[in-house]
Amino acid sequence: MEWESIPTVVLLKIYGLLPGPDRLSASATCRNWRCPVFQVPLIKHLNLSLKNDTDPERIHFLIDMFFWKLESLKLEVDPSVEYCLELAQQVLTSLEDSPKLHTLKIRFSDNSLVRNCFHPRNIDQDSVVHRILIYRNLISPLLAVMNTKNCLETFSFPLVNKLASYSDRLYTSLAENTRHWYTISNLFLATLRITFPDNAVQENTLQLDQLLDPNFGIRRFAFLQMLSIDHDVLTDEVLATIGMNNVVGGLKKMTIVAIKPNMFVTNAGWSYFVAQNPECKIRLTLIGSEVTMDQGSNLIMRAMPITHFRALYCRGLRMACLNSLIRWNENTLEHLELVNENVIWMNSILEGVPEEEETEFLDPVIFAAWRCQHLRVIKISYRYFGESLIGIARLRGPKLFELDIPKSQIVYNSMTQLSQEISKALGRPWKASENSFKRTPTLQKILKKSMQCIEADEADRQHLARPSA
Amino acid sequence: MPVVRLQSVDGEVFPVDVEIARMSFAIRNMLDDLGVQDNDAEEVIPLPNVTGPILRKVIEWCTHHKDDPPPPEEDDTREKRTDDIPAWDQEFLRVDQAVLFDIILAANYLDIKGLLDVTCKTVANMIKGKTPEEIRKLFNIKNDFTPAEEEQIRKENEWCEEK
Repeated sequence: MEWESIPTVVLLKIYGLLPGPDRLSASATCRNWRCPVFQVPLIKHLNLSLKNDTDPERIHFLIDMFFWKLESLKLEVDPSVEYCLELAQQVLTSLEDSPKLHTLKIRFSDNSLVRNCFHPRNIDQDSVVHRILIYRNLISPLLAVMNTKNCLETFSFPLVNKLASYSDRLYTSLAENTRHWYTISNLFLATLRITFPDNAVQENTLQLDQLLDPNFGIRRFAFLQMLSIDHDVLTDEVLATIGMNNVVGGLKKMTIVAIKPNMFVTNAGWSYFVAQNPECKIRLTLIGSEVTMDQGSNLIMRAMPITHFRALYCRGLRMACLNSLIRWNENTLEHLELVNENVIWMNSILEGVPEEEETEFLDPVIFAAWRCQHLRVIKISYRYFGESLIGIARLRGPKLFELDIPKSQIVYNSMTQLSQEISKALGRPWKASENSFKRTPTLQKILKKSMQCIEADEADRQHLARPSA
Repeated sequence: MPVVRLQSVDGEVFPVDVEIARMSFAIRNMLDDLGVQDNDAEEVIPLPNVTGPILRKVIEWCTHHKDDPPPPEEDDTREKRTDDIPAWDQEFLRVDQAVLFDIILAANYLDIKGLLDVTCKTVANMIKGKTPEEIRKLFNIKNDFTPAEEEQIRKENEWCEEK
């Protein structure tokens, strides 16, 4: 028996037929079977999370074995930890050896999000040193990647307050490299620059001048399919350029994160955008209490075809405004998510001075369940009546794919009876979720939740059959 | 139908239809190189790496598959399947480990893509879901790692699977 001496070319063929874990088991049998195991790319998509205790040996092993065939990398770093920055530099510089890299996503760990949003002074103590470190270990290698890659399709870099000042450098490099104009199809630039009134941080202006330049910016990306961006950098002028030179029929999806009102976008701007991107569906996420959605904030416009609407920890949402959103999008809305754990809905709507036009006391969730024929997902997290949940379940029936609410938020006398009623209406077993709920959400929680939403929207990115050039 | 004669290492000679013999790219190349014409039926092609019993199995497989369409081009991006082995092939490959190994070697040496594909899939299916120790036992593989190497492999395998 000579299975140890099976020709390498045959062994490689067998490895190519085995899923990762089986291949690793087979390669742990003898030396001859071990040697070629990493010649067939075992890992093409890598999620690397760099922490305080990350084993550098592991990172070097992964770089050595897999970067030559690497196609996508999601790299999570904590920019306030020097050790993480050093590892990040090694990882990013090694991407030089990854000619097939088409997806690059940079993430910041939850802790660092909080530090960057809320306690900038702690880092500022040695801010010059730290800035140099960030530039040398993160920004500069990233610029090198942007300058040298030929086939980058997806780029995601959700900036946080602290790093916003580098945004222009990166996006300039993205917009100036002509190769990217014909390869980039997914651009995720939405940020988490959340500020709360009591913890105001000055440094949260994004500079995307180059990228948003009406003449040279986003319009250059001829194959752009998906864009995620902050609402506060948009203007009518910018909207008019998105999709202008697009050769694939315009954008398919646009994710917008709004953290504050924006007076520079009008309904006319959106109409123009829709004419240019007729298939584009919009996902709108409002985050943080600074966003109030009364008549003046310009966040929701009649012309926007919204499929996903999320309001996370916003106060002062007006019922009339939400109901307009629902009325305008009754043919598009698929996902409605309203999360605000520290206020009762009625209070939240009426928190501002009740205006006279607020005569419409129509529960927006019930209204949406009734009007929106494509509504598949409803997630709510605020005090909510069990009777309304039953009503929603009956209105949507089995077409409602997900109805999510934490048990602790439901006002109803018998949870068992509620589950039965809703299960009956949905035609499948239903239970309230067990999420614990605190009266005041921590910042960490808000950021985490917001990041999850951004991730979820990125997850179904478009794979584009590109016409061969 | 013109015939070529294939001779195994142990001297057994098998008359085979040219079209069937040409399913082996190695034999096809030899025939082309030799400039063998249709009427050179007496030509004997020696196959020094294949024994008579194995050559008989290989010819049996080729004969059964002579009308198959050419296998599709390799596609790196597609998930490779191993659950699509035809029933006839499954029955054909119900042999002991040593014979399977020799058929693989022959398919590789004779460059018969379809046979190599199906035998590799069979081996992959045998490996799936097993621990290294079980795989060693199945194929009678001797563990030649030092304890230090084994520790290194355990670490590397963990690194690969960590998310």
